[in-house]
Amino acid sequence: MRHVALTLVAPVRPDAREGLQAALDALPSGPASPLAGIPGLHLGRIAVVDALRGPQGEPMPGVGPLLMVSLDADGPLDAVLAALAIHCGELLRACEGCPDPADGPSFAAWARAHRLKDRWTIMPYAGRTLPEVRSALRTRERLGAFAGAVADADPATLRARFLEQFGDA
Amino acid sequence: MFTVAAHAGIWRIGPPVRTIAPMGNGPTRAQPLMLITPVRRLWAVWLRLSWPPAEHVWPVRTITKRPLDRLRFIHFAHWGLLTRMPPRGGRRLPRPYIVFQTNFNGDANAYIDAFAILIPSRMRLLYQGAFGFPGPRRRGPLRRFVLGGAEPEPHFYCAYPDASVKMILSGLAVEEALEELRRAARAGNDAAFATRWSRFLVKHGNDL
Repeated sequence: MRHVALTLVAPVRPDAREGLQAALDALPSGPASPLAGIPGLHLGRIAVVDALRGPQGEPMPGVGPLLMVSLDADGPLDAVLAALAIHCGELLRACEGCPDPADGPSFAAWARAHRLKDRWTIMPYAGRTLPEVRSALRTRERLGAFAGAVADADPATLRARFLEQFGDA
Repeated sequence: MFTVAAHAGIWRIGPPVRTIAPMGNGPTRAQPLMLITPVRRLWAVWLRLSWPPAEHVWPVRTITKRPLDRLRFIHFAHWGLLTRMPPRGGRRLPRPYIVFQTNFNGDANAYIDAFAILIPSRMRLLYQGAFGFPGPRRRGPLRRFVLGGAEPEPHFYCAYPDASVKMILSGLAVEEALEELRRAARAGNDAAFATRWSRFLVKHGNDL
């Protein structure tokens, strides 16, 4: 499955800046995060950038605040956008021109227009889906515990216990 | 806890510039970092020309990415160029911006040092045309450049909060090896399996 790296950058409506920040601050973390509802999401973030900066670090007038959403997820892109509309749509409505997230095609078109293309990436396990990563982590933990438990086992016991724990593919 | 400094064998030089954690929500091993940097317009042309081969063309891709892949502390890192708002078809911004986003394990200062030590030339090729870029050699100014310009992260989610990149890559490696162990176990020879298990531990002991 193709990995989707999605970055959305969208201007926030001036009248919505404060409410958006309060909504972001109030979001629950961990499994209760709205981002957790996006299937196959590895990592994600939502940030408000108050202003883009000029050469001396000064805020650039008229450019900001911006909402930035960044997702690394299992594809396809359409499924990621549909889930984003469902789980984070209300936050995105604080952005200029964001259509009703319930209007799937309009929301997807808006999101695509606000997508910043990634040009250079480091993604050491991007070819692996979220279930594959979780399975690998479980396997590593189980094998580590097994290795400790059979450190002094004779060959027959070692093989029997291995089949008992890992025999089923 | 796994740290960049310990894993990469990189020692801090001087005091940390700024503590970056906690930027996300809740305890996770992965830390988010986002940097939006204004660059000279001609530099944006260079980036547009140099990024495609660095991303897609072997061996340029391998040469530029391998040192960072080997460190095994970056979950994901993305660089993009923001020149318009909205990014596609919008009005042109007064100047272009490099948007750098990453999720990594460990200490932010060590993370920056790792880039400076391992890929200084690549850093120059990315940021030499950025306003205020001090170059990779002087670590203090470089840390200030990165962390001082880092954007806040109001909300962050990681699907595997307890896992480091090293744990993930190790898990993927041992899972691949597991099938071979299964075949050996099913073959029915205790001694042969014990030998295979010993070889597995020699090869993957550090992965467990």
